[in-house]
Amino acid sequence: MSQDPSHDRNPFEVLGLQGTEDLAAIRKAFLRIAAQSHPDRLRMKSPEEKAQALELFLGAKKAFEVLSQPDKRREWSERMARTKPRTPAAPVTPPPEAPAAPAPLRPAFTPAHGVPVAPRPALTPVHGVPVATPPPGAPSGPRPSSGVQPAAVALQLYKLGMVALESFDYAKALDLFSKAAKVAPTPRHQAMELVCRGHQYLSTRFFDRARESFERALQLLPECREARVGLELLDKQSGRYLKGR
Amino acid sequence: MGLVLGIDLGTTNSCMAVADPATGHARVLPNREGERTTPSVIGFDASGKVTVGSAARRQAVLHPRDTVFGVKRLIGRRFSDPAVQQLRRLLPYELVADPSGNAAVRVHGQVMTPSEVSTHVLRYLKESAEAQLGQSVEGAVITVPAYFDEVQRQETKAAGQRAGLTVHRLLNEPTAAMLACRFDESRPENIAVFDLGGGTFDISLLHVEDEVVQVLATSGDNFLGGDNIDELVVDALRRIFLKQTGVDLAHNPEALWRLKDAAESTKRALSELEQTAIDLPFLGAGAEGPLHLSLPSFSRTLLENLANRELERLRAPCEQALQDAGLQLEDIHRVVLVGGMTRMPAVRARAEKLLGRPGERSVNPDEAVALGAALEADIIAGTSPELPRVLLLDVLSRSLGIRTEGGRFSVLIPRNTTIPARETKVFATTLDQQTHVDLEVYQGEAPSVDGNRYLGELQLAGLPAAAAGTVRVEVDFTIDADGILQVTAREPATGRKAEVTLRPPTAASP
Repeated sequence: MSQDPSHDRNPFEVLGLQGTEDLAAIRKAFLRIAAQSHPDRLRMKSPEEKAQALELFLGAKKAFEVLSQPDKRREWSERMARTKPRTPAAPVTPPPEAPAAPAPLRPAFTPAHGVPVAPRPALTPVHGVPVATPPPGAPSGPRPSSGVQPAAVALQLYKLGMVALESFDYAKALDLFSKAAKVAPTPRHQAMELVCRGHQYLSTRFFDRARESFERALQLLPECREARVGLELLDKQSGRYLKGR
Repeated sequence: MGLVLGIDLGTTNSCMAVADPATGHARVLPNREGERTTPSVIGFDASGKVTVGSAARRQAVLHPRDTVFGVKRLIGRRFSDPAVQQLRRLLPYELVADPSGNAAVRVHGQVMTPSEVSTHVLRYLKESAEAQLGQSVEGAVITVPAYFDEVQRQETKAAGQRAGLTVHRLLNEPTAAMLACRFDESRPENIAVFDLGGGTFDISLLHVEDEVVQVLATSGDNFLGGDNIDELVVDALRRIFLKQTGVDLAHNPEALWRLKDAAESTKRALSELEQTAIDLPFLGAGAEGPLHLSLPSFSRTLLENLANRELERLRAPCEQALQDAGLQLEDIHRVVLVGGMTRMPAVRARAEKLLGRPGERSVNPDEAVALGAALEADIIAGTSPELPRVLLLDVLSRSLGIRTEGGRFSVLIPRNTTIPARETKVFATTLDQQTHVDLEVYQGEAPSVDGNRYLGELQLAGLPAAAAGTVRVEVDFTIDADGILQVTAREPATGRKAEVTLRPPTAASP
């Protein structure tokens, strides 16, 4: 999270939100920031102020895009769910998986505009992955020292996750539970991870995905109270949403 | 600082408006002849004198080859474009290719680009406004179809600059119409603007919340409008005449002009009436004297049958826009109809079917766009003392990207992205020992660059020679609020950089 804050900052944070808002509230937050930072609003201001405001605008716009477009949002939450600081410079747009080997490349010839002999070199897209990517499972970020029991670590993470869940910070909770599930893959941890994901879907009105997550959590752990609560909430919200239309 | 006008530079009719700095309301300025809209018709006589508007239109029958109309459909297009070729057969004036292969018109042996022809209309409007207001007009906000690409926009801007106007912004027509219609600020609404004009069709979906108007998606067809219907009617009349008399009028420009006039007035009449008559005496001449065209009854059903296939083309853009905006028909709260063609009952019925709601006609379909442009001019150029309240978040209507290996089109900024915008993507070299890359910038939706519009290019040289795929180049696209694209290429290892601004703001922009 250190190198390029604009890419990996939690989009909810960028918009000044909690992480539980629905799409209408997310849009409202974006429009509020846009109304203050759009270049048209700043025609009297100095160039520095304009440049600063533009950064603010672009940051908010990107955050809104991530949260409002289903595929980008899924990508983001998956990235959040994996270890956070792994790919610091990956832009949001390109698909996260880089092709293993960029296929046998033939020199690209483009219609010559006056350089008749030399083939004009073109470019190959690489999916925004920097050259030195750490191997997928590589340890990064703070890891518990080897002396500590994994179970104790998992318990600690689980507790923190519950705290985050109680304060409705689903993104953080999801992160913590997924770490816990990685350290100690118990049904409890995995179910809680799914519950958090369900809540995230719910907050952006992806009702079917939210339902799927909650139901999978219940399959893993039939006595999971949080998943039931989530399902009830889902029923209530989707009912209201449909009625509202 | 002088006045800033809002100008709707239309295919068939143009209109201008100005915002009153004191009240913030916009009003339409009539032209020198006292009309609120000016036909986009330009007549050139042999001595080089130019007439614009109704005056040119009235003389068109006498000088069909020297009267140019509907150039907006040609602006920024290749001569080889099939749509241009098809148009060429129907136009009484001469269409040629200019030295660079773009469509142009030739009048009195002189080749003019569509942009140069449009300049005359803009200059006429500017002079009319100056005479009327007794003040110099410094600039304008000119509207363009939302679905215009960058080249077409650039040409329109050039036309304004040649007419002595600082083009403060090119505004999308549906968005402009939206600004002109009153909306309820108390609750968020999704509004569809259905704009079918003389030559172009645009559909825009907007979200209005508080004082911000956010364009969600826009789509359209640059070759679909009232002129298409007129041409179908002209063709039908020509066939009827051929059948009745055995004389083909295809190579008779005078007759074609009269048919075109008759077609347009028939179409207009049939918006109100169920049927009308067409009477064109002395339309042609045969071996045994003059020939007349007389149709005692031309019904609305016949017109609708003729127009049906063209109107079917309204569907795809509407569906595309809904999909891009992620909206269902139920999510649309209001439908606003703009453009003279929306007076036609068949068009209104279709708009209702495609957008799920009857269209509102709270705005004057001919003037709304110009009024909205005048309001936006007030927002941007700042003629009012206090800060404007409405903020417009517009989108890029077509995807922008570069050519990559194998002629594929790699999108950097997808269509319907809110502007200003910035996107960066990393690319790798394709060849061993490649020391420079040529970035060709294209716009469009086709997967290969051949189907898209070429905008320009830049070269980044001095790359470290290495195996293919090991040298990375960061390509950065930045579009500012005025829609000006800045492309930067950077090689992160050496920090070498090349940049180019496409669509340079040649006029003194604020």
